[in-house]
Amino acid sequence: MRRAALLAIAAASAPAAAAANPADLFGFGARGAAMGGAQAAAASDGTANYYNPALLARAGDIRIDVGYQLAAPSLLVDGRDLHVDGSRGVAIDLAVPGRLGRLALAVGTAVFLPDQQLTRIRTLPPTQPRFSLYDNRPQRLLLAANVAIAIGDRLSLGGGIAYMSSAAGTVALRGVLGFPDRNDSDLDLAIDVDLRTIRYPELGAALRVLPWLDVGVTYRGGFRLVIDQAFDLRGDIGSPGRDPIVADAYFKLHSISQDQFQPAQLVAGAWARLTPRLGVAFDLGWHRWSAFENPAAHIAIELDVGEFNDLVDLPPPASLAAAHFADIAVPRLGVEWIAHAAGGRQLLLRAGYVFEPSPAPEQIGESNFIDNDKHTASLGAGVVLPHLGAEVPRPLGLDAFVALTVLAPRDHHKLSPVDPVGDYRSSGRVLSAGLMSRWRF
Amino acid sequence: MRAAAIVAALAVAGCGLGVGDSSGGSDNLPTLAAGPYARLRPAAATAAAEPWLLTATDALLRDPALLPRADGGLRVWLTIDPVGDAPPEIGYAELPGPRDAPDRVVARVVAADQPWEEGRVGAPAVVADGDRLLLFYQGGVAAPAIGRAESTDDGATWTKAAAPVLAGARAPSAAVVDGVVHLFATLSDRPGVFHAVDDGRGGFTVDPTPVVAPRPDVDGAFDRAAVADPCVLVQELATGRLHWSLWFTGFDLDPGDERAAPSVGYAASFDGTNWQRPGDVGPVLAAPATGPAVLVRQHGGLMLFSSQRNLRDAIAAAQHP
Repeated sequence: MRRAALLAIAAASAPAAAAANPADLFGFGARGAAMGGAQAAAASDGTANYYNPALLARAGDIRIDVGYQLAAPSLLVDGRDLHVDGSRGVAIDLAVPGRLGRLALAVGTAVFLPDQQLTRIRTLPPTQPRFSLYDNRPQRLLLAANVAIAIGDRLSLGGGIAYMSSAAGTVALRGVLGFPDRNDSDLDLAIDVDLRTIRYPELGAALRVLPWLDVGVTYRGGFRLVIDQAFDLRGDIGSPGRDPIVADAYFKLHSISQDQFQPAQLVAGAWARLTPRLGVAFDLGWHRWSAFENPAAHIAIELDVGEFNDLVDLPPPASLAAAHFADIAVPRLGVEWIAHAAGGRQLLLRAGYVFEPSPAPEQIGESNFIDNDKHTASLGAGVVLPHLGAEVPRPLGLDAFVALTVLAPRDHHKLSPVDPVGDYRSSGRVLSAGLMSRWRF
Repeated sequence: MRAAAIVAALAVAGCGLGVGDSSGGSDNLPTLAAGPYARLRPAAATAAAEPWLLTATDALLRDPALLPRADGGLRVWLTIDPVGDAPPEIGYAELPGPRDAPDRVVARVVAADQPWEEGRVGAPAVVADGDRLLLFYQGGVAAPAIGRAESTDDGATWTKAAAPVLAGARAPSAAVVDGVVHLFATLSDRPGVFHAVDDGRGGFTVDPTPVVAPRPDVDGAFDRAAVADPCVLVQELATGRLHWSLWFTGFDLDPGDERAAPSVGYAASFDGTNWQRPGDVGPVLAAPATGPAVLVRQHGGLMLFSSQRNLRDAIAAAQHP
């Protein structure tokens, strides 16, 4: 029975199907990422689907952006790499302008399609050290659809929803559980799993305050993926053809955990074209990490093996300590400079900086939700080509970026000397890069 | 130019820009190697007969002490208690790893030759102190005491102190912290494991408060009757703080009771003075096991211990995680 319990725990802990946000961590699109993600007022292409949907309304033509991004973390504890998985995938966005009567509007969509796994869900043991913001959050599909309207020449509003899916399911086994020879088992297996749609809102507003100054504000809803899984075994224990040792035995393991947490975010930004060639963007975001809960599994076990119940000592359900994360403010700074412009061709150089304080407290107790203050410096370049013949009559943009995030070393001092993990120092870096082509039709 | 655009588009569409797969962030997880420990499982392709590491047909092998070898192998000192009337002595062996056969078989390295030893030595504890090795060991029968020896040739030869450094004590374990030797041992006249500090005059001062003591009032405790055989390890953590770990044998019944099922417990401290034990009442290594010796490695811990194989004490290995 212990083995069955272990199997059930393993099943409930195993990756299932469904949904956090690589764009939050590494940016979306090469231009935005090169400018430190300071795009709440500065997004000028289909990446507005992520940064501020209201800016979609400023699209004068159909825009399709296709790119590829990757991030390779090297996250260390006590100087040793935990080999946290990288994130990589295709970023695609679309913005289609139109009119509804006198109203100018645009619809758009954005997708980040990871090429390792569409979405990964997992539940780690409650005390296992993990970099909470990088551990699993980038391993996710991002899918958003938006609509925007222009109100007059200066104001635009936009909003939409992003989609995810949670998982709820049961693995049921019915029949005879062989004992003492497990090969005598004769069990029917039924699996019932629902991938339930989860939606969260994205809202934005943008205002052209002055001909050279735009401001914007964006709200992205919070999100958490609930994984509800059960392992249900009912049947007789014994050998076929003989009276069962235990008739109608019952074992059920129910696990509820959460993964892929994304905090609600409110971002305000400005984009100032200080000269015809130089623009500066600044965003300040508020991220509601205080809603983050301990992601470990709440496990409940029920067991009925008749007269043998007294011989089985089930562990009491473990109580999970609160994570005690705090809300954070994230400043972002981006610069774009038109280094060369002639004959419709442009060469643009970009740079950015982000400071993201850690929402996680020093890990002094049993939990090990590791995170550090993060400094990100980014560089990028873009070219705009006026046209490439009849097939591509509109300007084509090609952008690239590279960014380095440095996790400032942080010490974690445990309160108890019998803590099995002990004190440790966390640090690391994340190198990300990407390319994006921007097509206009 | 058109071709270049198509190539660029294909490139950004992005196939094959992958980076290597990894473990999902579960490599190199930090651990103090407190436990739990599990005995090494037998493996078909290894030279060892896991979990057994060192055995002898003509002697009982007990009380291992463990240091790492420069190449990652193991250096083991232990008590050799010959079958028959010969007195116990201290032996030494080396192994490439816990699943390998010894590349230096067990051989006697220290015998009793001091009057106070009463012809018997054993229970070695070896600690590196700069370029020298310090050996603390148990000697005597009627008047057990802890002796000290020193080696400046990496253990090839040992020079003993003429007199014991701590009288009325057994089963030493030692650590050197800031140049000061700390001994942990059991005492003849009191139950528990005690901490003694080098007094700088060739002796040790014992703290009268036990580091760990039997827990007769705790239901289900593995160490209700007695505690013995301490193994202390002091690590400087990445934060710069010292951490003291202590593994020990716990007895549920009197050690002389053949029904006793000894197992290994754990306690820890940040200062060597104030000690805590885990909240549960169980051991970190299940019975039967005595005389733990632990080596903390990069990804966990290796514990050697004594247990009976074919009715004779031998040295076995367990690992964490």
